[in-house]
Amino acid sequence: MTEKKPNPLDLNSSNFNPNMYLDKLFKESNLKQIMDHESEIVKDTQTLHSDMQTLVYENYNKFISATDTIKKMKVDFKKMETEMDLLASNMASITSFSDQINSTLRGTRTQINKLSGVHTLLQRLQFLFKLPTSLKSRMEEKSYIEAVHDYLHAQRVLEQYGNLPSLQGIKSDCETILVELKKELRKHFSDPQASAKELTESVDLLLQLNEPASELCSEFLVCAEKRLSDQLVLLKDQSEQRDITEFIDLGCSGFLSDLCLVVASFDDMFINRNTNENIENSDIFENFAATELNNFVKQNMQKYFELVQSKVDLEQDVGDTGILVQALDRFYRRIESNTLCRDVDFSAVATDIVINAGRKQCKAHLQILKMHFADSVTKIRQSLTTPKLVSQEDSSKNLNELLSSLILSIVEKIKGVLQDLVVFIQPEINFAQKPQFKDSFCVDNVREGLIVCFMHHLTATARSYCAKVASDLKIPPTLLLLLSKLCLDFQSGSVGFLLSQTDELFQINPAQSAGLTNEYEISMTMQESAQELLNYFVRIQGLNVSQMLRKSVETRDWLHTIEPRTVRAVMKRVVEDISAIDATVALLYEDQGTNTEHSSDSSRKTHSISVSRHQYRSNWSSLTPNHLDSALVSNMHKLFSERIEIFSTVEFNKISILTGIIKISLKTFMECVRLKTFSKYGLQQIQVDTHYLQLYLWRFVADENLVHFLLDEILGSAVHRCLEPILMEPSVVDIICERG
Amino acid sequence: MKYRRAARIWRANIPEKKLKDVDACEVGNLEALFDISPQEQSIKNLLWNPLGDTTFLSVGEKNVNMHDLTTLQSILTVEPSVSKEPLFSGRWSPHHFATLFAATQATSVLCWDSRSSSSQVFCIADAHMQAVRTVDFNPNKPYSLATGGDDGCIKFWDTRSCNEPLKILEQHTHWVWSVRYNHFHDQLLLSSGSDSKVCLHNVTSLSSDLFSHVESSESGEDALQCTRKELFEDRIIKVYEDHEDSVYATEWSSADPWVFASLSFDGRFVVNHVPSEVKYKILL
Repeated sequence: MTEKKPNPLDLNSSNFNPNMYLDKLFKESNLKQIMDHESEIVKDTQTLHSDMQTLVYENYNKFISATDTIKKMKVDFKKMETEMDLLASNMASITSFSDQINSTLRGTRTQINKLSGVHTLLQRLQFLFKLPTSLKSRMEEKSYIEAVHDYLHAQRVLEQYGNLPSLQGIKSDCETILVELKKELRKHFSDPQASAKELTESVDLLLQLNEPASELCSEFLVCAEKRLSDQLVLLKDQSEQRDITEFIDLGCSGFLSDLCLVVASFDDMFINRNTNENIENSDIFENFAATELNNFVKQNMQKYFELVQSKVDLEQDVGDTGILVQALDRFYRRIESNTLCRDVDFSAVATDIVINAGRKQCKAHLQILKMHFADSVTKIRQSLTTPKLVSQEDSSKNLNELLSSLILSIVEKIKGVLQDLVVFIQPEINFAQKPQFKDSFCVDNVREGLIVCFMHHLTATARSYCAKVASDLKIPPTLLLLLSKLCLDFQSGSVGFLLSQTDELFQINPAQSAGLTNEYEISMTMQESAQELLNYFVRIQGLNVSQMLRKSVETRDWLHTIEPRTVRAVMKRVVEDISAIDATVALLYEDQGTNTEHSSDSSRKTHSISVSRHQYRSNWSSLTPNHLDSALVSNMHKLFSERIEIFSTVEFNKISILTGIIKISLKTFMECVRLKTFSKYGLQQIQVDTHYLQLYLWRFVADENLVHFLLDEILGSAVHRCLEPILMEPSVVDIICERG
Repeated sequence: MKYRRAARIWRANIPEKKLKDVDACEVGNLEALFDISPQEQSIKNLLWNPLGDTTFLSVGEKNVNMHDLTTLQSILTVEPSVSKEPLFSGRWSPHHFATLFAATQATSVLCWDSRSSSSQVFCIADAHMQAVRTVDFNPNKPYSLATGGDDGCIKFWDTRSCNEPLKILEQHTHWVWSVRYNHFHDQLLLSSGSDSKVCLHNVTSLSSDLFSHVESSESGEDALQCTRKELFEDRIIKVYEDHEDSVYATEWSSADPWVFASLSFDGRFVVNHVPSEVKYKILL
């Protein structure tokens, strides 16, 4: 509302109404404010006034200066006009003078042109005349480039005008010299000392001289071939003396660089030329040249690869894996970076060589591991069989130590091998990144070929001890025990650890790659071998003890023996042997099985049965029905007792092992007893012996009823085979056994 | 006073009409014919001539005597030449017109020819780790025999080359007391031992069975091939655990080729037969 028309109260507007303003002011403001306002307005007025004055003054000054400037300009223009007139007149005079000069000199100029034309022609002719001599001199100086250059220069003229008699002589001279030149250049090819650069030059020159390119190209290749084969021969000679890094370096710097140079120069010269020749031939020629080159390259590279392969094969020393890897890496990198040939991928061949090298390393390591294992086993075997010079306590601790040290050494060795081989797949190594190499090396060679193979070898070696012929009884049975515990411990501890270590180090993902032997299979085979070894051990030990018992029964005359006074020595020997076996087994296999306490009832129980039989037996001679009754009793007893399995699977604890051995021995005892005929005293001797065994063997087995049952059977069989089955009094038996 | 084993020949007097009566269980009475008195040795075994002639062998500890039934005299005596260990058992070979007989001695098996009593025909030394308990000749295949010993193994031998056994079976866990071939189908083998087990084996690879070497590759008869293959593998057909003490003898029945009997120490006499699926597979 207030902006629509100029504000009457605004000091700066056109509709300013002073009365209104003053009225407003008086209304709104107090005395002081009015006073201030007044002074303010006065000041403003003064300021405006002074400004106005300044502006006027300046304006005036400007006007005056403008006037001065225009006056000066007028003067200057007048001066310039006079000078322009002078310039115009000078130009006119110059034009007239130059016309004059031109016309005077025209005549001499044409003459001079003619003379200079003749002069150049004469120079050329002179060049031609001098050509043979200059060529000759150049030839002597061996500056072929200039020679060819000169000749080419003159070539066209010679061709065109060669028929003129004056030039014919020159032409023929030149041609002879040229032939010689070409021969010289060609000689370069066969010169073994010539470098590739010189060859390139020669070829270039020859091509310029219009030699047939295909001939040149084949000859070039032939000469290059010779030089390269010299290089190869040199390499071959050096391959025995130098070590592999130097060999590879030599090969790279010598042979490969030469080959690259040859290929590059060949390309430049024959394939990529800007051909001025006929178009139709150039394509055919290019193909021809390309195939020639390919063949050449392929052949030479093949020879080179063969050399490298044989050198790598020579590397017997396993300890230098690092060096080998470095050398191979250098070799591979060099091959990879060169695209020598379009068809053949030499890096594939190089990868093959590298893979072979890796495989050989793994195989060498495997051999070493196998030998180490065989050595350790032999050493252990020797230490077990040599008579112990140290006291018994030391030797008893040794068994466990032997085993743990064996396992430790094997694991350490394997870890060492892995560390050694991991050099092959370090990230800096070029060929390690190729999946072709990596897969083949890590999975096939290291994991399967080395680790898994070695574990299978362990189990196979362990098993082979079982299969030995009986005559080779020089194998200490303790060795079998040790080997079975080795398999067991290895299976439970080290297999998983080693496999996971391998997988980790070599970045094998077991889920991805198929066909990997998993830990379970290996553990299963190890477990089986451990079981087999243990079974065999039990069999062997059982056999040993059985032999003693058998001999004792078979060689004695049971019909004419005297009344028993003591326990037979062989029984004591048996108990000693079984205790010894128990002690040995306890060193390796802990006592995990249950062992029933020797109850004071059990001996009485056995006695009760034999006593009952005794009661029946004592009436034997009178009535046969009693005999049948006693048989019935024993059979019924058998029906209700548990059936004994003579050789159930042996568990991996001491009690089970000892039980197995004792079962075999007692069964043999029983069979032998059943084959003999006893007199009364013979029977009583058997009774004493079995009682003695019962006193001492119970503590080795899990279930003492087993021992009782078997010993009962033995006694029962002896009773059946006895002519006069009269048993001794139990108390007397006790006394004899205690005494013995 | 020495106690030795003796032997006696009996005749069973079965009346004619009872022979034709299948259900008859009367044997008639036994008449003692001949005694072999143990003058110097215990008699271990008496063996009838497999061809049915009137000769029989008595295997004693020191020598083997052949007796004629009609004259009841010893017509031949052979002795082991090398060692003096006692003989344990013997067996008459059904081949070569019953002229060969074998006896076991400690760990060896010796064999003589009745036509020349001087030398041994062959000798398998160290047949088993400990003693050899039993030997049996293959009734259909000459030159092959099986032995069982104290190491719990059954070994098969070719008498023409006695160095290595052809096959070893380790089914028993203690001594093997008896090994017997089936009279008609020699791929069936019975064995028994002191672990109270009687095992029936199928040993096709060493038998004279015609089909044992056929390997057919026709794909259309897969099911048949499987069963055939199963049949023709060497395997243990069945383990009979009917006894509770050592089984000392097993024999095949002469009348029925599928029936066998076994005898154990506790006096149990068990008659069994071959499982019917095996029987039909062999027959068909």
